[in-house]
Amino acid sequence: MPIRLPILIFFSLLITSCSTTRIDQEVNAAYSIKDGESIVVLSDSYHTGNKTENDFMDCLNRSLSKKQDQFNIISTTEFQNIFYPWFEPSTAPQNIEDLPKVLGKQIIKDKLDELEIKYLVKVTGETKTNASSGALSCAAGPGGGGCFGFAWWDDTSSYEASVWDLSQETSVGNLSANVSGTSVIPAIVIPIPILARTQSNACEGLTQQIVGFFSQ
Amino acid sequence: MKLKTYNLLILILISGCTSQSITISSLIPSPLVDKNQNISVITVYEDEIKNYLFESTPLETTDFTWEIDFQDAQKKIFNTIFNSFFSNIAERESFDSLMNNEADIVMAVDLDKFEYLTPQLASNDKFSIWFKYKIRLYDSELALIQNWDITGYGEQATGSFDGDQSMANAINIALRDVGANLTIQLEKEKNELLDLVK
Repeated sequence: MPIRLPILIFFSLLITSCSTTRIDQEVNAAYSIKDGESIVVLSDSYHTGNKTENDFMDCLNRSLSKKQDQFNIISTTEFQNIFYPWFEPSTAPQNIEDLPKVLGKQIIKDKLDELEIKYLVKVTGETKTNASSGALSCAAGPGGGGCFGFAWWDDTSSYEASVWDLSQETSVGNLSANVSGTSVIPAIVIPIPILARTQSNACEGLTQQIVGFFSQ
Repeated sequence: MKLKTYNLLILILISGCTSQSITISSLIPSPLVDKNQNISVITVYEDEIKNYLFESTPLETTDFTWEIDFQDAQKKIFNTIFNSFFSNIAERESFDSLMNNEADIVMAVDLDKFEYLTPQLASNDKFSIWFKYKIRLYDSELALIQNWDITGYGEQATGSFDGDQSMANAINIALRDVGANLTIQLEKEKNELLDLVK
């Protein structure tokens, strides 16, 4: 038992690969949020070529709900269902200039007021694999099996968020989180994946940015 | 020995072509729109909207074939949208059974195209779905006044889903998009439809 603990610590340190995070913030206009008011995060449409992953949006929603109690988070799915079909991938405003077209409908404006939704955070970006190399081969036979080799790849998770004030119909700020990291899998009989969790680090980084933005 | 040959034959037969079967039961939220009390509407759905079973033809012997049972999912989507816009609405089995002045507007809905791409066909990691519907609008005298093309597109990356679930998700997303585009069209033509009643 005492021997197992150091081995476990060693392996848990080993399987956490390193990554580099860069976050950025730009404020365009004055903003404030009061207790009880809500914000919504929404990704740009795949109709415009944006590829923000659903699991990244789920992570952002979850993380924003957990990390602060200053404002409410209405989940993306709930928001899209309540306001169907005005914020669907094919109908949602893609830039701030499109916003008045949607908010010009009184029924939408009334619903936003009723739910006290003050800000919409529009998210773009994705996680990409830039380069990969190495070779890993596995074989199995009647006597057993195993893998041998070494493989690595570079991932970059780059996400941007634009904060829209729905009452003023203006963009009040831009935030971004860029995380890059290298994942490796060495294998001598057993493959040991050492993964750079760039997407979850970017989710964490963007959450901190959004929470910090509204705490100022 | 005979048994082995028989088993081998069965194995060859079932590995030549695999069929995947899914059932669609999409639901969409009621759209956030103002309901109109003044226009009376009759809807007529073609058979491919009421109960559609799609069976694909394999292009090559190694292709998967798909059997997609839409049940009445498409009809439910159209009903959800129409019922949100009009409070005075009824459905008829066929256009031929209609008589003049039964309603201000008759809407006949037909499925024009259903197309799909799988990761195998498109050499990528997603399922893509397209729907195209034809909606013919008639006035109270059953004269054709407008033709609408309503489309819907949905895609789903395979990710952690299996093939069946990814295909079903892409179809659900596409049908939701159909509902969105129909709502936009009805909003756009709302005033013109109201003029018909005046």
